[in-house]
Amino acid sequence: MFDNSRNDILVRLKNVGVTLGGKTVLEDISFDIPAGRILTLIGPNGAGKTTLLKVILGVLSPDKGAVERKAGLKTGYVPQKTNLSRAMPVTVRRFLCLDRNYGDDELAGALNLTGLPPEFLDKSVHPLSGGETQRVMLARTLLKHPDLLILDEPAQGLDPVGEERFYALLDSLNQTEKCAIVMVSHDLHIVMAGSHRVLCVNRHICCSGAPDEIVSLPEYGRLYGDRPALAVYRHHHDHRHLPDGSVEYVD
Amino acid sequence: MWTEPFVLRALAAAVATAVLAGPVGCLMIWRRMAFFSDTLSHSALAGVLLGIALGIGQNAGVAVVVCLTALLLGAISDKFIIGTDILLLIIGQTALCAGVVGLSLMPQVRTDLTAYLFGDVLSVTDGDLVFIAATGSLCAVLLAMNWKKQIFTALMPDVARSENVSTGRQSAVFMTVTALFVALSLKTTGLLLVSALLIIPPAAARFFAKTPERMAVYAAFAGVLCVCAGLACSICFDTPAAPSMEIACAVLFAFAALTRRKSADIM
Repeated sequence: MFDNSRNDILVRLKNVGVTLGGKTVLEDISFDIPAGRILTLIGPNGAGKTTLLKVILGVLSPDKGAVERKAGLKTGYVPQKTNLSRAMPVTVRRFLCLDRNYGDDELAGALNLTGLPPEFLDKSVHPLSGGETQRVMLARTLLKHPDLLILDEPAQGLDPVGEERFYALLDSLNQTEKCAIVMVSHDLHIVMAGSHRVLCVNRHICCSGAPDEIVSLPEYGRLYGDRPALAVYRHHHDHRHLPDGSVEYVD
Repeated sequence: MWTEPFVLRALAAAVATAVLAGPVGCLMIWRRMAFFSDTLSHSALAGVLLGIALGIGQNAGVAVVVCLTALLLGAISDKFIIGTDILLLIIGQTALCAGVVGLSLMPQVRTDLTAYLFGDVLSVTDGDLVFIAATGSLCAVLLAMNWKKQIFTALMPDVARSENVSTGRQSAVFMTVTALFVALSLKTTGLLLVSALLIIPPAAARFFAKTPERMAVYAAFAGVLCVCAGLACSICFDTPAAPSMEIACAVLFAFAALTRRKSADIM
């Protein structure tokens, strides 16, 4: 827990390491999540991004290092894939009340924040489109007025227009609800426009910085080397990734 | 005939079992663990033997063995590469055979294997009713206290965990409730037909329900209807009670599937 002098930091990760099934998934991860900021995690598949989100949430305890959370921190989590079992009949209203009951006004208000009309309350969640489902998931977390939203590839499966709208929605929630956002995303063009800070994760943190700084970093170029439009230039590398996943430091 | 004490006792046992089967069976379907109750019930025969051997009564023996099997399954089910369904089958079949073999080695015990396999609801005693009332109340209390968390966990376990729901504890609650239900339903349905009463009424209710709560209530009503129909059939035509109830369930399911609501609010 933090003392009061640090109350602008929501979560602090110190040298976090995670081993799953004998395999090192994350090592030596250290960074702060400040209040009200949008922080995006990028990195290749299997880089440990989802695991890192679970560590931030406290769903998974790290094997090494420490995670400090601000006292009374409220988080909202939208996972990567939500295969809601069709065996269970669930209306949007019932879905929003999974943890506890809310009044209809509160429910309609939360839906409204995500751009859905109150008529959605009585619809079943199962036939909703990908974009609608993500909005309902988001509305559920907003009912708890979170300080920190954690989203795992939230725009996955949305068409380009839906994707852009969804990120615009996150942007406005960040402004109006004053909640910090940590998300995993592969939509680099949008990430670069909307994030305050970008972290490149590949088991460790390859590089981090403001979006316009990070594209000029060589580590970023290596991660997305096949996309010359994003990898602006390359210069000296301090490490490289070996085929077995380990890191070799050149310096 | 209809007001004979043995008929009333049978009716009380069957109705209590069917009411509880509604919510328990729904949870089983939502968690995709329909075979779990089958495996547990197959271990009940070993519980009968234990109850006789220890002199604690058959019901208590069954409750103990079924709960232990549930805990064992809970502890090991994620650790096998072959998959949980295979493991459930291996343990269920083995437990059943161990019970049958064990029974054959105890010639002093006069048993009617058919009564254990297919139930014997018309021979329910006052003692059985007390056992059903006690375990049934315990199940109902556990369900009522954990209902919201059970649904949250069944639908989105990761998110539930991120909101401080102990999913491990909810799994333990689910397994305990299922085990107790299997123990109390044995007299009504027999160990081979426990799953029929658990699964078929909720499956029929799914066609009409908009929320999980309504599905559980509809399932309980459907179950009561089916056990009453089965029991009436058994008394009028002298058919075996539990199989008659199962057939009533199947008829109801077929009827539900044919007349299901096709509204987008349900599907």
